[in-house]
Amino acid sequence: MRRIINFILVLALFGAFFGTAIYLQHRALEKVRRQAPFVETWQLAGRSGEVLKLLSLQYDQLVADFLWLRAIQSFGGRGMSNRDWEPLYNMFDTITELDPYFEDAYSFGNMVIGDEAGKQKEALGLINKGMFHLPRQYRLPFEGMYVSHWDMKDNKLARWYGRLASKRADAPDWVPRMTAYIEVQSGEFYLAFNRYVGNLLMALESRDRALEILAIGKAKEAVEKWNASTLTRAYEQYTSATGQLPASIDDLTTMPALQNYEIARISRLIAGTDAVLTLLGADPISADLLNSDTPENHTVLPTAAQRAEAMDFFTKLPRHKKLSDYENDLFHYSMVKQNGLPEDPEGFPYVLNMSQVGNPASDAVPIVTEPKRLEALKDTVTRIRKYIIERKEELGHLPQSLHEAFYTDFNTTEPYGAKWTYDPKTGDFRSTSHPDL
Amino acid sequence: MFKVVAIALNTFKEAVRNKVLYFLLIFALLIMGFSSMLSDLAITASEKLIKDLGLASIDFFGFLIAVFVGVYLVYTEIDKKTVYTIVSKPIDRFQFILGKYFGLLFTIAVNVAVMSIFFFAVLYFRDATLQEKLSKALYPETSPGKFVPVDHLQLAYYAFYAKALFSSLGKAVMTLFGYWSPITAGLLKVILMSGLGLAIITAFAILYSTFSTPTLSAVFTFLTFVIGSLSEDILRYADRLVQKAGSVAQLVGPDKLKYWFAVIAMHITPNLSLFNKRMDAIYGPWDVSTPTIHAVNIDWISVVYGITYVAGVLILASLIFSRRNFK
Repeated sequence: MRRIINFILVLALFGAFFGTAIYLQHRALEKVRRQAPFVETWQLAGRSGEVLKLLSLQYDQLVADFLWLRAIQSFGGRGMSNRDWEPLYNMFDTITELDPYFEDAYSFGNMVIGDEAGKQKEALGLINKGMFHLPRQYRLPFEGMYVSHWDMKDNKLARWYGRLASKRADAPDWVPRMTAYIEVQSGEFYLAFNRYVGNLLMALESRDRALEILAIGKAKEAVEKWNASTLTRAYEQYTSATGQLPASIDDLTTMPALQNYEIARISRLIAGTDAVLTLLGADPISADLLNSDTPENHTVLPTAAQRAEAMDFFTKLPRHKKLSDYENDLFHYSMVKQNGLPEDPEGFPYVLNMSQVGNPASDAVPIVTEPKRLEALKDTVTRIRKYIIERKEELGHLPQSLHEAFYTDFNTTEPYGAKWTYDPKTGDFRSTSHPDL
Repeated sequence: MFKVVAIALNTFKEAVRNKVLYFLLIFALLIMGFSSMLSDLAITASEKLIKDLGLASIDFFGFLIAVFVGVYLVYTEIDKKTVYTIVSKPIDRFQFILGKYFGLLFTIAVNVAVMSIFFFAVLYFRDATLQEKLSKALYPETSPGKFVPVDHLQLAYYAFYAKALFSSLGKAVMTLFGYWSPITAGLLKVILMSGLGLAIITAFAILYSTFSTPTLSAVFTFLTFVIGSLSEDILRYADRLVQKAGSVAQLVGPDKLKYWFAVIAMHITPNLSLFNKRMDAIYGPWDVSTPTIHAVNIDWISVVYGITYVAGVLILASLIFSRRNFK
């Protein structure tokens, strides 16, 4: 009996002490719950990685994993601001020192430091470190390209990352395409066109309709921007040399920018590609790929003479087995040295959009193709007619003049350099160059 | 040979009665089980986390078993005077040491095997219970785009997990005997190499226990493990000293002493990093036959190094033990 009582007493004592301890622990936990989800209690500094690597006794990957979990919680718990990006940066730096092949840590670190905290240079530091340790993976240079293009607006840097990403063994097909886009954005039209020629040949080989449309569209876009850049340079040379605005596109043809310059011609690319396809026993590029109803999908077609010249040129070259083997030849064949206006990839003549010529309020290129100038005219006429109707409702009658309609002088130049006409009786607004519109 | 085997089996029987062994084993299994929960927090690197934690646990708890069981083996025999009954029999002292060593090694091997099975089972179970597999089992596609729940959904849910559990355990056991799966590819090789590192540590535990107390032996073994893990850093340290001075001949004073100490230390102490293939299992080169699997290649020179090193330490232990006076 006494033994039982003793046992019960001991049990009660245990219950009292242990129960108190559990109650106190519960209170402590409740206190934690009231605090912010994560409070950084320690910070890693400059050489933490080196020291931890030594201390981890070869369990460095495991230590990196725990730091990784902590970094995720730290980021998730307190968010990010410019003020406190440094502890997290040090954490990612330490993680990648301990486990230099931890691709996700570089990638996530880049997102946190670059995208969220806006410290792109530091984020690129992490990316660069990862690229060194992971020389075969495209993902990190690709992310470097993304950060420098979208966040830093540094297309030259983006181009550098893009080129590295394209060369990586595991780079998907779209990485070179994306890089070519960056090349265009950074003004490297020569390289962009080169890459797009490769893409077009790959697409034609795959016989994937969607890829073919994309590739031909991108090649045209590269040449279009290249042409626009050359023409803008000629325009600037003209205005600074003469002190006047050009009256016609022909005024620009004598400018140095349009003398003996190298440029790509889509017509030669098509003629050359069709010649190679014929030599390989394949069908030429399908006609509906090159031309459709809308002007944007219209492509300049080579003349019969151009086709004959291309066939003659490629017949003399050593024969390859695949279309893509001709990439270099086709690229060089598409390039010409010429004087005068370049060839528009859609096959339309270049003209001056007079509403943009000498317009200090506009960044738009004053040189466009004829359909685009007509489109600009249609757009202006439609907008102004709509505005006049709105003003009529406001005033209760038609505006008596364009001055009344716009409160100020209506000084928008007509894209063709013609005049605007306005009839206050009928509210009819027209252009003298296209009165039928 | 028979005598060595007899002592080894006896040592194994003795070791499995040691409660420390079970505590360590349970702790290791808990950590590995916990890893699958932790991996949910790792966003993208969950498989890496489970593998890192599992492989490190096997290695580290194997080391702890070697220390806490190994350091008592010879000492207890001398302390409790049971060694008299053995040395009075026609058994050479080196056979006694070898028997003790292989007995302990077998104990560690069994523990490592149990931990490995559990580790593999965690990986297989994680793969078998992926959300898409669960959805497919509970909501099969009866016609294109039409998913219908199975009858007795709750029951099917439990049955799915029970099936995953048993199949994972079965696969885990089979993996030890050569079953190949991309989920556990290369991991057995990593564990085998870890085992070779543990064999060296075990030999050291036996060596120290032939001439010192268990506490000191544990400290010595732990320090051997630390130095062995830092072997390559010691090399870098020695190189940095030379770089600072210009050449070995130009080293003077304490730096010269430090240099030679480092050189001797890095040559005498075991280089345990040679047996650490954990990085390869996660990031090793892609396997030639299966490009989505990391290949773990066994470095046979390291294997030979490990075996010769163990032999050397055991000979030293036997020599010390043969001169030991039990009075």
